[in-house]
Amino acid sequence: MKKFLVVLCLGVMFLVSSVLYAAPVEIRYIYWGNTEELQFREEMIKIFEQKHPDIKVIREGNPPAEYDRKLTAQLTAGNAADVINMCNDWWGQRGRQGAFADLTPFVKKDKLDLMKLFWSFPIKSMQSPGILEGLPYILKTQALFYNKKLFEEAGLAYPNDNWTWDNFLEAAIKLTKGEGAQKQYGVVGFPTINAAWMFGGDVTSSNMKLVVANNPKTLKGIQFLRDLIFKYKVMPTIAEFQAMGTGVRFSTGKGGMMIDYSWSIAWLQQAMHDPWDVVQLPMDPATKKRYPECRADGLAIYSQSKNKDAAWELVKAFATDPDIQKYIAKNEGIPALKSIALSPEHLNTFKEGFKPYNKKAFVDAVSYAKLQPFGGYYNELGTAWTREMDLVLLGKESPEEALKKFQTVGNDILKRLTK
Amino acid sequence: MHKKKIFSRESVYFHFFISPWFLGFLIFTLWPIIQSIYISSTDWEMQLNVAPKFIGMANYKNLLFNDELFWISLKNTFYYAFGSVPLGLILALILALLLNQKLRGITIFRTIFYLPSVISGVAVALLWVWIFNPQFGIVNAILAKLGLPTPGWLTDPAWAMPALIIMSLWGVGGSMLIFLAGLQGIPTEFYEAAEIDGAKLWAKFRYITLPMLSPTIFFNLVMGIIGSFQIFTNVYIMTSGGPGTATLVYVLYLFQNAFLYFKMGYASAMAWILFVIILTLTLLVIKSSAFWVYYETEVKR
Amino acid sequence: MKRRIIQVIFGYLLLIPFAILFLIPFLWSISTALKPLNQAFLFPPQWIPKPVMWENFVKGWKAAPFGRFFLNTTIITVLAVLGTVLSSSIVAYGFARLESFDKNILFILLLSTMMLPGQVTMIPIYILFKNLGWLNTFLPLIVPSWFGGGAFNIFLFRQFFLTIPKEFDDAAKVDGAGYFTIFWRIILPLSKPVLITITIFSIIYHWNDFLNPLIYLDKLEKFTIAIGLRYFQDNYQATYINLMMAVSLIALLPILILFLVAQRFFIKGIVLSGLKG
Repeated sequence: MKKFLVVLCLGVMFLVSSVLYAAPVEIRYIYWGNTEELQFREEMIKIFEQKHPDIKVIREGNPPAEYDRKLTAQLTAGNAADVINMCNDWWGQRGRQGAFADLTPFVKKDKLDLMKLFWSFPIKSMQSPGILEGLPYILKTQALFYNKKLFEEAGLAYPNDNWTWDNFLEAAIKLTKGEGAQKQYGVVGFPTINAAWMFGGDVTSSNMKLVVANNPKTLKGIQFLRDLIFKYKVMPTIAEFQAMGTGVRFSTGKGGMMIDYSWSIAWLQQAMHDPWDVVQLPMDPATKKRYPECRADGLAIYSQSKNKDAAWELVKAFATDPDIQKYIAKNEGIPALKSIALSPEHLNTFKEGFKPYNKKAFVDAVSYAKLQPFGGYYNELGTAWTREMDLVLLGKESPEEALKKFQTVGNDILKRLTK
Repeated sequence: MHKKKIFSRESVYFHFFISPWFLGFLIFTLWPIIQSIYISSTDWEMQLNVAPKFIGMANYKNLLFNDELFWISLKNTFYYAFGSVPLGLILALILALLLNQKLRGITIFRTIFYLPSVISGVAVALLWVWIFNPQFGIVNAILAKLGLPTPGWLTDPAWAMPALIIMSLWGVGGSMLIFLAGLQGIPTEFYEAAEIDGAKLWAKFRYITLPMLSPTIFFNLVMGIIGSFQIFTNVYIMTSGGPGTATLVYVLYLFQNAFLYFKMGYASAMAWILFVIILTLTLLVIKSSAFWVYYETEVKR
Repeated sequence: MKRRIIQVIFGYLLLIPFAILFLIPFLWSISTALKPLNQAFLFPPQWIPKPVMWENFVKGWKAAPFGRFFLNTTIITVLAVLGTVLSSSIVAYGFARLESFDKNILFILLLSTMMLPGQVTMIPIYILFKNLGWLNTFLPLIVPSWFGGGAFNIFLFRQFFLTIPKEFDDAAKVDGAGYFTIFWRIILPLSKPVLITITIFSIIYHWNDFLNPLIYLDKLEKFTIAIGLRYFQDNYQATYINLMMAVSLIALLPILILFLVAQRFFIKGIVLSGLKG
């Protein structure tokens, strides 16, 4: 009898202690990153784990070139990571195919006022009809980069936020000089999507069901871009770009201006020879409107995840935890949380070893943000667009023809994709 | 020699000793081969809850008749093989001849030539992307200094494959060593006899060295063909098949079908076609060897 | 005598240019690895960096968890090489020293597998490991090596074993030694050149393996050096080329050192295995 009691007591103690000792919940987080981004996200994850000792994050950080393949493999095999790093330019493709869980119940449960916390741009673009797919945590925007030394040498005043495309062209002409491989160009970076948008044009309808590229405003923009190369000769040809790209031309002082993204800052800080700065993109002279391309990285929850609550903690933390958002701000990413992004601390302090620059230009861009139509699912559309644009910029096709062709081809693609 | 009994003690031990390989053969070779034949006859795309459907030879038909990229990748692979193998053999032979001299410090040179073939993989691929950079790489820097044209290399569809071929030449150390071993196995009496007959350098090379070396050439040729048809890592890292489809080699396209598009059936069919091609080429070389390979037992004048 | 001097001069004259050609890739990478980033993209390219940034090696190493990657690669390599050497030598001993009715057929089978491209079996093997639940572990990278270690290695060992006089075996048999003892105590110790050769070949293969870790590993903490280097490749043209070169060189270092140290045995091993035909 005594023996039985002893065993019973031990058994109860064991049961009780195993219930009380909650092993940490493990959630898998899949993300991409080059060496910098890897460390960046690692720190963010660490901050999270410190505050949530009951959740352990399994890092599945992939080299950027492998991410797509890995994620697709996991989704296809039905065992994707619990938390998925996504970008709003995926246009909710994977949500449409049921890959992402709807975050609305979680947002409601934690009473998050999304429109107050964030700009409308990242939130709206992470919504599929009826589903909130992700919460944004970092923003990536465009600005006009310019080389101060080259501007001074040409006797030009620096660009400012009131510039129109006319000012831009004027400066570009004055900044172009020299010949051959060492030629200095006024413009060394101008994404075609910016050209399509610059005068208020569009490539696709806002519900991504139709390609509308064949319209006068878009045409005007593409013509402008083509003229930069062939008429005014202020921008390198495609062949020249292939030999030496935007980043390298600008950083070695061979380019006066470039339209580029906030993610180039870190690299530029190390690679750039001359003093430089940024301003917002120039405006359409007629409407005084500007159209920077912006993106937002966010976290989504896998629809088949078995740990949705724990996953939600990570999603919420990345987007709204002040410590994590402040870390992003300090390390030269644009935090998605409006309050932190607009704080003087963010705008006026810079990472150690960085020279100051006009960070506000990148933050202000969010208010005008436009989302490019070629991400994720719509990659194929992007390939078709690039093909036509390449022909235009090679001088082999007229902008009218290209846009007409692209509209036909693009609509076929969209019809297939949005079946 | 007495007849071996089926279950002699030695036979049992034999099977015991080779069992690791035999088991491995069954698990990792035979069974996968059978499975692979089966998979190649289905439309399996790895989706959850979707069973593969038997479609007979459809994959093979689609590859051969409906897939432009299949033929492009095949053409690119032949281009690479017929560029790198002959050039590689010639270079390896030249280096082996140079190393076959009795000079002080010859081992240092041998190390320098052999070392690059020992390292491989991602690190080397990254090195060479930089070396071939059209604007800042050392290749064009040297060409420019010599006043020669500076092609776009990996950024130019016409020059991307030549760049890969040149890179492969850096790794001829392996076949070079085998040539060296072969050279050192040629009896010096032959050369002495030829000298007495008044033979010049070229004659010695043509009538003694080459024939005596033919088994080695044969070996290196076969290994070279088998290896060059399977090139993958360098292309994957350096060009991803581009620019356009200029360097889309066969195994890269296979990989894309298998692990990017998950068309497992399609990719398996590709693997079998590759096997047939390599087998055919190898058999051709073997058959032709009767005409030009001399073994030591048949010394010719 | 004069002829000899001409020969020597010619010899060096021909060797040195080739040697320089072969060394240039190394030297150029070292030069880039030591540059600050804003000097890497200069035209015309410079050879000597000013200042010399030795810290690039440390910075590059820290840029991703390379310590972890190094450890992982070492574990995989050591275990796989062990398996390769042990199992291929045992199997080769069987083929070299023991008789059986089916020996010839099996040997031909062995040789023919050398001709099979890995791609044929790659997909079913991947599925096999997936079903075993071995994805995301090191097992798919290690276990196959223990099952015979590759037909090529078995072949090399066998060729070498055949050159060992049978009298040694017979002497041991007279003393009552069994087959395994002969293998372990007599054949193996006499096979140092080929053992070293195959060990080195094997180390090189597993250390540099990219494809297998690529398809089998998902978790960051399990990645190998080969995958880790991929982090330096960005979609956008701006890469930290200097750090990338630095870490690539570090990744090559173990193999270089290994080779330099073991050169002598290694090359003798190739020759002695009678690869001439």
